[in-house]
Amino acid sequence: MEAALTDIPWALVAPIILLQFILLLVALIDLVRIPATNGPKWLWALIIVFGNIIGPIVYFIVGRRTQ
Amino acid sequence: MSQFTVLFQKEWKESVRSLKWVWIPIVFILLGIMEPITTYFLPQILESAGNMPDGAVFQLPEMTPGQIFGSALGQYQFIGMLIIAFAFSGLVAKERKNGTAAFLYVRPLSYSSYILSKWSNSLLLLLASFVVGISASAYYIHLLFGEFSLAKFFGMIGIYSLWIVVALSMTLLMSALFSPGIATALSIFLIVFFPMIDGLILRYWPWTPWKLYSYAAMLMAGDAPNADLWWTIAIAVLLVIVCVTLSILIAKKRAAKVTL
Repeated sequence: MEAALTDIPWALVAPIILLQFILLLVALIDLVRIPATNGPKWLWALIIVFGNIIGPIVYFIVGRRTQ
Repeated sequence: MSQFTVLFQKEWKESVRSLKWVWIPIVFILLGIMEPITTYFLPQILESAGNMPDGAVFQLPEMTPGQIFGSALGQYQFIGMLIIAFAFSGLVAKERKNGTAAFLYVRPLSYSSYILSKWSNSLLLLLASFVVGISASAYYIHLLFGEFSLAKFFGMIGIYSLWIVVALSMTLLMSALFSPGIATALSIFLIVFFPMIDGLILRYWPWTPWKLYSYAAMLMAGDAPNADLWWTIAIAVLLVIVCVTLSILIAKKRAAKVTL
């Protein structure tokens, strides 16, 4: 198991993880600050956190309610 | 200040506030870099994830940088286009629905600057995201798969950028014509599904703008550009002009019907 972890070329994969993390963070911060969303906020929080890349994208397209 | 500048600034503020300038570039970069990385590590991924019997060996074809660019473009062609259809089909339609349009229409407004401000602002965002994303992809492809021709790379960016312009212009026209839901559905049909079936139903007509994606991929894979490509580019430019002009005319016509 340890060997498998060190086998992963972190230098190559790190940008992907970092970008995904930024995307998730931006979506969550926006979710907290926005007054209302389409549907319950806690559900969007779950979708953003567990939806991989697609979660934040769906939130930005569908979840944000523009007045 | 001209009306266009004012409206452009309004669009700019709106796309910044709705965080489009954050998430679309990030997603386009991710689309670009995931393709070369997953292709490169496919043997290891299969080994650790698949239940392969011991000693099973299978030969994966050796990929050239051009082919990887082709599959990276395929990501933009599917997920990228879905994002364009969903995120930009509301440009005009949503404003009409929530009343912003009525608010604007009561002013002496130049409809060409109204539509053009939306068009140019969205275009700036999408093209910047695409160029940054495909450049990140190029960096990884260079690192993992080797050298590629820089001239062809720029050619590919040019051709695919034109397709993005076509896709956005068609989405804008749908948005000017219909209510938000219908606009989204029709945009998805026009820019996500039609390119897939274009090869079947318009097989013998090589000049449709929907083939720009194939031409971009073919250029990168090594084919020299031929006359068909130039005709396709000419028709695509024409289609963009028609879509934008129609959008302006429709906005003008709708404005006459707005009541407060």
